[in-house]
Amino acid sequence: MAHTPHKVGGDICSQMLPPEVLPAEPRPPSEAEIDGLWRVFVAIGETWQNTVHDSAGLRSSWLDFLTQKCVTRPSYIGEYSSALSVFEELDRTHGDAAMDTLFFHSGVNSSTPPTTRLAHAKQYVVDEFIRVQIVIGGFKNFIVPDPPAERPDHIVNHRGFVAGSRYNRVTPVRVAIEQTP
Amino acid sequence: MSADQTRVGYEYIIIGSGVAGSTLATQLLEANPLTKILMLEAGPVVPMKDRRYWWDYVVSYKKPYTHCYDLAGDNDSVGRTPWVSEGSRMMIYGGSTVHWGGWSMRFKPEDFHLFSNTGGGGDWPYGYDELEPYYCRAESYLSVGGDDRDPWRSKPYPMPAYPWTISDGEMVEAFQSLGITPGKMPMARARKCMATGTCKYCPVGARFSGSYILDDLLADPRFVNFTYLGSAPAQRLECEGSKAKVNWVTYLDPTTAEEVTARGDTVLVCSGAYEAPKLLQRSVSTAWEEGIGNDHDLVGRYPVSHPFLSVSGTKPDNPERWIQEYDFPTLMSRTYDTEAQQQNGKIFLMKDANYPSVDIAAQMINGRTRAEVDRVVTGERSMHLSAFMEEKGSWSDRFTAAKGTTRFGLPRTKIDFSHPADFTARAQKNLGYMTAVLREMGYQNLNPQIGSQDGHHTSSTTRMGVDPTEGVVDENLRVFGTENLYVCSNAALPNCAAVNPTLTLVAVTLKLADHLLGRDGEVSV
Repeated sequence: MAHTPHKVGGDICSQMLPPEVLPAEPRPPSEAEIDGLWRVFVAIGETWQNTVHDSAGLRSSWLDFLTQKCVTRPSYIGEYSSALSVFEELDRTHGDAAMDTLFFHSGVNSSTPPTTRLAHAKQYVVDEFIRVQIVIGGFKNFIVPDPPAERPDHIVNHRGFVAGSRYNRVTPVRVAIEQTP
Repeated sequence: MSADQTRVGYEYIIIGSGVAGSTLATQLLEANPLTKILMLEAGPVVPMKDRRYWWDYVVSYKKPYTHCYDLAGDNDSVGRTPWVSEGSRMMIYGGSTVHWGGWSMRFKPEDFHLFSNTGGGGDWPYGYDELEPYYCRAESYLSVGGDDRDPWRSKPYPMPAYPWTISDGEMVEAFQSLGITPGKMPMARARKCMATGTCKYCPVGARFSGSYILDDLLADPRFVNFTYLGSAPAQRLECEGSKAKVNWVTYLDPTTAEEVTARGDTVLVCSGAYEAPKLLQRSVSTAWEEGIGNDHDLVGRYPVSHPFLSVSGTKPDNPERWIQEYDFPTLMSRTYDTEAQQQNGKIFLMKDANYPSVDIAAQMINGRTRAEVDRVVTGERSMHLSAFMEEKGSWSDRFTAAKGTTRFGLPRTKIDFSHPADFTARAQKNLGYMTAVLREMGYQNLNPQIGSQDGHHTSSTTRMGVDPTEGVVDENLRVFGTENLYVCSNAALPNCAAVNPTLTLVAVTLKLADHLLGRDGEVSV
């Protein structure tokens, strides 16, 4: 896969913005906003092929993340709204390659402050979704790509991973076999 | 004192809300729920178990309490050895337990006789055997899991040990082939631990923290006379009538920042090894011309911490795709933490919990494909073996107040500390033991390092002694020359052994609580 950065999108993507989180009053995300953002989250799993079946099993944790980021300060609701406009423009300009462009060819350097609407969408939304996706279960397929048939749920832990939807299970880890000296 | 200031009196004034202060308050209130206690804390409240804070930590590793650490300008390090305080201690509701790792090792019998054994550092006024029952209580109180038997113990750990993870395996084998005894790291995080791997900001409050203890105390309807004041830094102590009675504490009102004075029958200084000596030093009067408890010029002297030693190495690949699966170490050894090693400086070995690691998400964020990420995950593997090294302390080293105040209303700290001339040679000898382990494991590019001297485990600045020419406080932590002033913090420990001092501080705190409640010698587990 080539990584040559180049200008993507149109006027919306290239619009200049201050680097800080866009100001917004906290509120829950609407159904339309959830659907639009979920599509990007699902695309992460499809692109890196790191979900067991699809991303449905990760949705409750992702929704918790999304809701917390929207309803508490600093609210990301402005960032999410802005990002949805970026994704729509990428759909218009890149068609089926929109997500691929966003993940691999955005030209955004994630280690520098975001100063365009595209960079905001990449850093505050896509990059954070990737981190969340890895933490809530996406890591498993990278660490145990071929789990044994008897334990297809992957016995492996990761920083930030919480097993069980109600936070009531201790995550198993891969343990060392103890030899009796 | 004005009539208003004397109107409200307390049985106890506790200065500091960390593990010592919160534990003392708990013990006193459980014994008598109507006990009148005022707790003063210089720092603010930061909510724990907050879902938004936790997600922010998961995504960005941003801790919500970063503003409660020392800043670079809060201290003047003036000795030959730079002393780094940033990130070491916290001014916050719950104190430094908010960020501690939960490592809960006991001191060993020889640690109580450091001066007798080596001619350096301080002896404790009592031995390990006397503190052992309190260690058992402390482990129960903190919910410690472990399984080692070194040092000896009268009761098993209250919780099971965490297993060695798969990446511990090859180091366990290397330990055993070199005659080093591997052990499970005793950890104070078994209460409700879900192994989230985010111990620095736990979403379920599993790791012990003084903040949770305070939450419970403040929510308990029985404890109507327990008063907590945050952002209320103690300024000085004053006597009442005689030199021996230290009844008055002046602090800054959290809303007006004006000085307010409160009276306590007993004053418990639980504010850590930086603040405790400065508070005594600046409590100057005609009765105490050099500060309270400082007639023998010992307050603030003999500071020790733990030099951090580490050896890293690499292997060219990681075919098993090992990552660190817990956010804390699970493998340790006390083989070089023995009386035979005291002269050189004992070390406590632990496999570094940060390695091996791969930031998979960062690879994806930077546009790496699945195949490229897989190559990184199975690529070079790094392993680190780390150690705390024991220090003995020196009279010429000292903590005092520097000019100016911090943003918490506390005086800045002047830290005069210098390693002994033979320190580097002794540290290199210890690094030799550690390097042999990674060499035995077949690692390359070995890199032994002596870390900076930092303040994480700072202790001994108002150390215990058998008389006022050797220590600032007696075996019951009472300041020599006073009847009602106690220092209950790492400052009172005569040394800091080679391990994290928190468990020992809790044991000492429970012992003090028994003393205050008239239960000396009645320890029960």
